[in-house]
Amino acid sequence: MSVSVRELLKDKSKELELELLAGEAGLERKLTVADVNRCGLALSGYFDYFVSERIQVLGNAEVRYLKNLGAKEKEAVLEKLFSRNIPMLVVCRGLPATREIIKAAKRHKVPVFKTRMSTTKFIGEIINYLEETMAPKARVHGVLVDVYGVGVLLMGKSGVGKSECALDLVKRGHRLVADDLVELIKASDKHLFGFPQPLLRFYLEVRGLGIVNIKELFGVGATRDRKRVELVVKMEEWDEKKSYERVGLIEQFHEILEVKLPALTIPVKPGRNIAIIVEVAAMQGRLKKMGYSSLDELEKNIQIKMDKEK
Amino acid sequence: MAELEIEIKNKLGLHLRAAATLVKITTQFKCEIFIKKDEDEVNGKSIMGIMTLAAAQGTKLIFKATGADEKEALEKIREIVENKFGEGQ
Repeated sequence: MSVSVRELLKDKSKELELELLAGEAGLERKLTVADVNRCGLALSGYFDYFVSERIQVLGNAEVRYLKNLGAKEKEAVLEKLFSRNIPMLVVCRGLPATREIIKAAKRHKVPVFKTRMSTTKFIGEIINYLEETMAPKARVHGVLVDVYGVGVLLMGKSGVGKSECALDLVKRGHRLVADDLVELIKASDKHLFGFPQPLLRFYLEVRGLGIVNIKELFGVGATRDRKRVELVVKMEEWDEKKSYERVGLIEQFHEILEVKLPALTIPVKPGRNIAIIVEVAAMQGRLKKMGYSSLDELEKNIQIKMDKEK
Repeated sequence: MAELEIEIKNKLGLHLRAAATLVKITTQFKCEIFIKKDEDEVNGKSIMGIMTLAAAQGTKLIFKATGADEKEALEKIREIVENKFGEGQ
């Protein structure tokens, strides 16, 4: 995954207070790694291990260092830096970009920006943005609801009742994240975040009722912009021939983008209240995280009774 | 799997009512149906998904159907799209 400097500018120029100073011709340059480089060492002439593919950042120290160089030296070192095919360069803290930087930027068609943000803050923000933009993404057919703080992804065939279940959950005080289409990004090996497709935000479709706006109906508190997915509930029509989990001994997982998520299969039958089952599953998941297992306790009690009756 | 590439011909494109008409057709069939526009692919039986395509007049869509009745499904889809979703323009 990569993102062009132009896209970065479109998404984040306001937030990062980026102001283009020169090198507009290089806006199509690609950012391929989610990291930056403070190029102090390079400015001092040391180019071994120089990471040219990263965004190059100049902070207070680098700008002062450049200021103390003689005109010829300055030009030479900047020529060397810009000829390394860097994607872009940013001068932080609202510090001025010297004439030599602007000249080199134009010559090599490398976009140079200035920002008023402090160097540390800027680096933090831009890495966050890059990581998120370059993270693996997927789109699933399902409904994402925040139930007692647990992100529950309801999956199953069209018409099995995912949205109805979500509506029930919202009515019971939980929050809708996305209905029908859930966009997912993999933030790390264990973290998967879900959010709605922008056009469908707040909307929920229920057969027979049509498309309703959850925010307008239940208030903004009944919605959420994004949520980590922590539990997958697979809903399927009750199959007489299939045997369903009765005790909870077998752990099921569902993999999305190579993230292993705890999963449950819940058979749906008319009159069966799925929302309550999902609520309990979410609470059960939280208890488990806190170290409590109802099964371990039950097993222990059975053991104690057996020992007594020996 | 069967595929159908077709251009949206009605003036308003795949707006709300046209999407609803299309879903009425696709849900009559047992086969799985997906609709592709450029990089985006959505479930052809989901009105919400179809809406996100925001396919205007002139947009080319690819319908992919998989299942026993895939041929009939695509034929019906072709008919309704060619027929401008019964909107007359």
